[in-house]
Amino acid sequence: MLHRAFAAWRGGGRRKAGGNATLIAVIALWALAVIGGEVMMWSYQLTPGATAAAAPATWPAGGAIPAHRGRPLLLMVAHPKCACTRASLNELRRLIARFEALSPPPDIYLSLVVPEGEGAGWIDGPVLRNASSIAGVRVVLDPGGRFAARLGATTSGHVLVYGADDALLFSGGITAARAHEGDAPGQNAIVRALYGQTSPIHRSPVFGCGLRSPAVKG
Amino acid sequence: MSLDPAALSAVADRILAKTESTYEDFVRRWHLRAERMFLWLMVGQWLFGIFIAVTVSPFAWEGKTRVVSNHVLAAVVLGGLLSALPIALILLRPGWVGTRHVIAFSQVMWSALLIHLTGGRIETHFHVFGSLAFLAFYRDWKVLVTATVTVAADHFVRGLFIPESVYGVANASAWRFLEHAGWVVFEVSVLTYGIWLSLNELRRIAENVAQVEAFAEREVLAAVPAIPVQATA
Repeated sequence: MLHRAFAAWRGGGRRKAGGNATLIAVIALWALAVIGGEVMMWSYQLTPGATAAAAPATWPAGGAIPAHRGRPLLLMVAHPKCACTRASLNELRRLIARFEALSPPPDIYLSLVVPEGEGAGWIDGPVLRNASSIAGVRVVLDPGGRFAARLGATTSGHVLVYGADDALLFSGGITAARAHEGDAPGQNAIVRALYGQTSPIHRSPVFGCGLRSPAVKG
Repeated sequence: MSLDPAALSAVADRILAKTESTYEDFVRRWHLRAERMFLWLMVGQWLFGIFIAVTVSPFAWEGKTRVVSNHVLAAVVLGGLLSALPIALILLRPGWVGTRHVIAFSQVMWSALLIHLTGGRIETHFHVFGSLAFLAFYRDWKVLVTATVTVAADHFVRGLFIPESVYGVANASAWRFLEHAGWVVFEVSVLTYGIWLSLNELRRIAENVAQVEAFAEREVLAAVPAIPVQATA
């Protein structure tokens, strides 16, 4: 097949009638491979992280973030080195701009998970730099990811929103695909919930890096 | 001095034939020129895609475990695949009609890949319109049709399954791909008009070249004795 295709390519004036047919077959195979590659790429992007456990119905006490009665709270859990989280942070930036008319505005936190055995230097990177440029976002550390586990978060970019009455309003992601910026159902659900409107969804899949190392098999 | 009608008719036929061959030569040279440009563009896009993937998202993480990100693999493998066949055809089958249609398909798929690699940035969608302008260098409207159909098909399919990736909103109508395709058709219409004007100009130049060459030949001079240039020959 390859030999015939190459001969068809190089045939020039001595091209046989079947030469172009072979070449067109090669082109068709190539187009199928390209389309297959695009499908695989999107399949990867549309595969959410590990299923999150149910988030606590009310804000859990005892964590790094104090109780927030009287004000809504929005928390994003992130892996400090996850490049996909850039999209989540950029969407968070746009989301915050939609909170302007909220009174009182929500307290906004970014909780960076530091794995066991790693120091505070682990959080240095693009996620922290990006978060630092978003006005109103307070960064907290989560040693060992214990607080993230209590919240049921398994994937970087997981957002939890609690109302002024401490009740859980939303739990999930705010991007429509992994590392993909743009509108997403989770964003609209958060805005509707914080403005006191009914939302058709209260959860959405989270696309991003895993917060925990994969379990060692054996 | 009388003119020989048969000789004049033969000269006219030769001028027409020469016009056609000169025109085809001009067009072929344009095709080859466009392909040389796409050769470098295909290499450049591949390197650019890898650069974007390596700088923006080199690794994917699971806790403390990191692996080379899917973006890097997509840039190297899928990007390499996208550029490989156009480059091979440009080198081995330059000027072939299939070569330019493969390039048109590849160029539009490159737009989709770059949009993916840049995290869906809306600005990267402009690559589609830039690509159409590049493809217009071929001065072949059929190449633009291949690109337009590829854009419309890509938007239609992605619009069904992940509308956010093409339209930026989650609840886009299933027919919204027609709006995007409409803007592409708008640009393609302008480019096609430009191609038509350009080809007409090219044909006129070919006619002039054919006439000048024909009149410069001895047989023509003999067939048209009334032309003053004969007196000085």
